[in-house]
Amino acid sequence: MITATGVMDNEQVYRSYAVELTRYATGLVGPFDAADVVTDACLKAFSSRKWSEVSNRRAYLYRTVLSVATDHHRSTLSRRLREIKTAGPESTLPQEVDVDVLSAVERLSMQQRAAVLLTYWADLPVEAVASQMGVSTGAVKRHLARARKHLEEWLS
Amino acid sequence: MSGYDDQRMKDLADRLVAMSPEPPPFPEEVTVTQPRVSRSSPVLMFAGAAVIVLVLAAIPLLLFRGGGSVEPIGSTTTSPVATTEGSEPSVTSTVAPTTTVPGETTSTIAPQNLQGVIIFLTQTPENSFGGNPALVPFFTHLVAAPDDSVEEVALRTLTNPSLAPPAGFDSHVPAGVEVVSVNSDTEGVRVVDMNQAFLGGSGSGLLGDFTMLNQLIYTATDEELYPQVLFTVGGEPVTQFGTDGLDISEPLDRETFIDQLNSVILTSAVSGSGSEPLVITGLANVFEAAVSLQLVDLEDNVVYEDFTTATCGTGCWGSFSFHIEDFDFESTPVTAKVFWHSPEDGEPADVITVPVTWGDEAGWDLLP
Repeated sequence: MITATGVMDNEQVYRSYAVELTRYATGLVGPFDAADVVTDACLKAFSSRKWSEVSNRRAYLYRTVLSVATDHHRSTLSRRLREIKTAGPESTLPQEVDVDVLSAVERLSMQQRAAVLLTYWADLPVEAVASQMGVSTGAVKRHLARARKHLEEWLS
Repeated sequence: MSGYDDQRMKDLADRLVAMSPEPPPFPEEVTVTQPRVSRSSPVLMFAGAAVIVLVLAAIPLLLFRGGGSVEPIGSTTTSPVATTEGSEPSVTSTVAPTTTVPGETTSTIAPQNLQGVIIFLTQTPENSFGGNPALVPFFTHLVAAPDDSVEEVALRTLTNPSLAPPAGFDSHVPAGVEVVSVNSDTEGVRVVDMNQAFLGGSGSGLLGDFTMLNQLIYTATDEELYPQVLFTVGGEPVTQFGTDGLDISEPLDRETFIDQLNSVILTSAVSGSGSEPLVITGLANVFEAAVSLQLVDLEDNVVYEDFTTATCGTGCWGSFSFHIEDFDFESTPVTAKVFWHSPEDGEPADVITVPVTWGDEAGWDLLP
């Protein structure tokens, strides 16, 4: 709903960005916990005292998703994968779960995952990725370089 | 194999995102603009008390029917329906027992989750210049109701009389001090209502009172969304606290009493897992803002060293962080030492010493 002042209310904001935020969260924490991360992030953002003053709400929500994902992380994905592998072939995995991809991403830190996603999925230039993550462009390049290194090590 | 070039990175990102589930429904409660009602509100306390009464009332029935056994005859108990181990700061397991007592109303005990929280304990630093305690955060995980906020669980842990700090650490929050409720307003202030015992302070003098407040302030606040906390007793701001009757009737933040702390304090728990870098963050007010880090092994050999510059120093507080990557924490148990070098003799000063915990179960068991 658009308010009388022309500003989207929280539900409208949420509906506008929920799909892409869930995709972003999936890239950060995997498909199992993405919905929880998005819900927590939106609750956190909407209840923030800064929220009413935020001009770029989409960018703010992306940052909050990364922040919540970082808190949430703590080996969640590793544990989920271990459970899947332990459960063996009889386990009923959703068809869309790509264990190989998750195993590769598991090797990356949360910052590296964010840099990879924003660069290669969102197609943002390095300056925009840096702005989105609140770090320098040099840090983004380092994250990407280290992500490649970790992935190459995993391949070998 | 060709390694991870741009195209392969893009494929990886696309395949990753392709696993995305449906977005969750709009979280309705965010539309509430009033402070969130805590689980300790009178209504919920009454409901909780009713559940306890029902469960207590059931015990004699169960014992009688079971011939002394506590097997719940005539009742149904649902075991944990989805349990996963771990120490995540968010939901990891669900425990939702439903107990039906013969002749009684069906009651459902609220589902509970393992929740990870960070609480701030204190340490007397080595080679201290100012004689003030250091703050050190600890990550722990415990069972909580699903609607409990992280901060509420953390504060209840810090004020739990059974809290058992690890060796070398302490808490200045005395037994008897309790959190009554935690609410978060829309201005970035957490309002924490305490019981009457809070007014007596730490019971260990003015410095102890400052330390107790700092522990509570750092545990209740964060650096972004809720940087301030207002302590109340019986819903009223506190104008007389502790030994010297401190007036804390205005919201407090992390800087309010920071000068009563060690010149180096930590703001992130020293633990992690997997291939994550270990990130150690803190605040320091030290000579030329130069902060040093050492990792020492079990034989006290320095196995890693680094230094950084805080954002301010020599008379002002600044933030600092260390990012430790490519260190094998899994196979090398280490202790982190964070300090600055005294300009007088170059020796490490105000040294904080914290064991690094690493792995899927990283963190500390602070409650028995």
